[in-house]
Amino acid sequence: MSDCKDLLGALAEYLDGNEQAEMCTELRRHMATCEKCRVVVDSSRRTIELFRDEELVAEVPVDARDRLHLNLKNAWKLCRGESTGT
Amino acid sequence: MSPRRPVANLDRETETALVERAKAGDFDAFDQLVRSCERRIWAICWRLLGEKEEAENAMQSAFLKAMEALESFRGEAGFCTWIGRIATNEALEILRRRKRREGISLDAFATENDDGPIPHPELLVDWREDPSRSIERAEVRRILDTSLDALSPGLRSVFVLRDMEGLSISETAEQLGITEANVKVRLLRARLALRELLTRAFGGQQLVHTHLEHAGLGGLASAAEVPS
Ligand SMILES: [Zn+2]
Repeated sequence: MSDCKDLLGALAEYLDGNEQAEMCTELRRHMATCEKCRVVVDSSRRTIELFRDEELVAEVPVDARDRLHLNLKNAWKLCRGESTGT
Repeated sequence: MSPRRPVANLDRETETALVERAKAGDFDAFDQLVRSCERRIWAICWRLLGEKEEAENAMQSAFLKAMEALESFRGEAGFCTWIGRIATNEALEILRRRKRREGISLDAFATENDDGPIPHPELLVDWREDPSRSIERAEVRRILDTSLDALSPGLRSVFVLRDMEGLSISETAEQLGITEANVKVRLLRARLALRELLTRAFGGQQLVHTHLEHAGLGGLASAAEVPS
């Protein structure tokens, strides 16, 4: 890959963890000399990482959580009898 | 980069014991299992739907269905993974109903976004060191949520299932009823669109629109256009 043309195809493979694929080896080689592609690959990778970061997942809203546990408890009583311990 | 499955804070042994107790009728055991996954289940519902009331409905019905189907849970996959699939189905069903209400056919849901050139990366600028450290966490979350909201449901669902839930390409295709080729195209579109949006938020100071000059790669109209 002497220019950036194949970037998109290789990027998909690269981000999917097929870094051993031949096109990814070429991409890596290309990235060493092409600043533009390095930035695209790097920011794409970090984009996915951020969305995977559990710390950055919105927490369950407190009211929604309360309603959930209450409804589950009631449903449990209905379909399994009164063994909820209260 | 291998897909990471969020780790529930229960080890397998504890989980198995709780499942047995729950099957025997112990609500507290079931409730403990629910608590160990609720954040992950919320994440799936919230990120697929982006609307609080709908996400809450999806989360509730997922756990209720899990309760009803508890006997059939065999434990091949972890409890949270099992409920995760149920929650994904619930959320997708709500998404489809929403589209139907808005007068968009299911067909459109299945085939959108797959034709036309993939918008080429546009903003080329390094990110600041570590966004999640230099920007307040709540603000980063807001940026992630808003960015995801800018995607069409078709792109959004593929990205959430594959990149966040860690399903394989074929699992994602099956779950959404589309081909693996479509999953791949949408995934690339979604990732590039989100990359543009996040670069706007997390890029360094000298934000310049720089286009890669490619022959034959028109279509610079970005999938990631947001009002600035
Ligand atoms: Zn390049």
